[in-house]
Amino acid sequence: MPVDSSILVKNYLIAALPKKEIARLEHKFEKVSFKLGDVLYESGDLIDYAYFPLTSIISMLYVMENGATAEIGIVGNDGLIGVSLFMGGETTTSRAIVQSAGEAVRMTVSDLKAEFKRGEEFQDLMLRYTQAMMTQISQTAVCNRLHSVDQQLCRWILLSHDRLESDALVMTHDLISNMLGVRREGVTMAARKLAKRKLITNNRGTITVIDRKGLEHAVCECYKVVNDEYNRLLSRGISRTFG
Amino acid sequence: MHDNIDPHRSNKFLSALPKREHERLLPHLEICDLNFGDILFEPDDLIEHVYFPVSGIVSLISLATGHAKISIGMIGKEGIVGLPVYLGSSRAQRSAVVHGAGKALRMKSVDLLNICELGGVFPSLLNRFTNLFITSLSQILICTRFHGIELRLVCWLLMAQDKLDNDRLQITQGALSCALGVRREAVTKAIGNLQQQRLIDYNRGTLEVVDRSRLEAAACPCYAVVKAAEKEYINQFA
Repeated sequence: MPVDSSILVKNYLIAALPKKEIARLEHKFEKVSFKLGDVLYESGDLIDYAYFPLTSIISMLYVMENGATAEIGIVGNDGLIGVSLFMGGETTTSRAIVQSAGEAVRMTVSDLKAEFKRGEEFQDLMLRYTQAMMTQISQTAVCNRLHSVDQQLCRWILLSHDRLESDALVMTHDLISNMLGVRREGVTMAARKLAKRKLITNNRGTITVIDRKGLEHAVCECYKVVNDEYNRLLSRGISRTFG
Repeated sequence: MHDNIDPHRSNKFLSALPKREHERLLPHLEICDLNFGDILFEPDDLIEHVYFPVSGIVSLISLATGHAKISIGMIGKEGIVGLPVYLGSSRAQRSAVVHGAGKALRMKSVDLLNICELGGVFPSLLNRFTNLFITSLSQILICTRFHGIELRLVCWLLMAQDKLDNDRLQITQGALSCALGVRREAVTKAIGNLQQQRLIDYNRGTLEVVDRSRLEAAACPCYAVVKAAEKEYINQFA
């Protein structure tokens, strides 16, 4: 289904383009809806579309040979899934899975590449987004190595919360455990601690943020490093507070 | 040994450029030494130069509160140090530290951007290197998450050796502890174990790979994944 620009600008990357560019691109986008757990593509798949989330959140999971996974980044209304495409790759090394149900718009790979090749604002924006994404991946690596599961969960909740319209994250501990690459019991323990401190409520597969400030206080610096870089490079903050 | 090599042919990136584009770059390139421990830039520095290593290794080091450090990338003659400049961010987020002495050709960041404006093969090589870097970054994330210090040390050594084309590596345990994000004692222990298995030899800051094929067999799958991605990247130039 074709889309008009009033919907497209829900994605901050698209919104950062000049109005006439958005108008020119309008007919190249198509709207799609995702359910929790939908897989956009598997690692190694040939890719047909790049996705720009509007209300959905997509998790990029790196899959190891033995099937173990860990999240390398999350993408919501701040970005796109498909960076490797304009960087000359045909496939991707990660699985893209829906972490929060909602909508996205998509563009064919050939359109995306053609737009990137034109140069101008679109290309600049894609490059800066790539840098922001690389910051997210490397900071996730740092966080994995140096910070506790509690802090990692905090970071993950805040990054997700920034990309959601509501305060509720519909999410099982199993899924979170896949994403953070830690055991489910570890996630459950950490969530309990955050609930006990009255930062979140946590029941029946839903985590609800009740004290945003408190979470920001509890989180490691990784959250801010990632956010600052997004703000600096994409000029419009996505964080609900630091922006 | 470095004096005999043609630096422009040694960096895969530069050698992949068509003659005309290479000539365009020449006036902007100057050769410089990479001395062990040199810091090319640090977080919040303006990145004034980008470096094309000809030999040696540059590690990208991330610093977290409490002075914990961890390497998130290792760049040698296949690539360029200072990629964020191309991606629109000339302020450094990580430190770039020389972990293997050598030489590099360097260029002012502003010249890099001007040359990119001219189009041609150069920017598309940068894109491909970016893609390679993202793959190895993701693999480092996985490796640090799931693998023990010994496996990670093996992985690091194999990659370092590939970049250096040399069985001997001058590196301190302090630098290894910084690269792997673990305490120095853990590095000492891992080196001891590998030495006992006669895979490597370590003596006064010189690390020598004794049995490359057995070392490869001892590595986690991460090494093979990064190696394959690197091969694909270099084959694109052929």
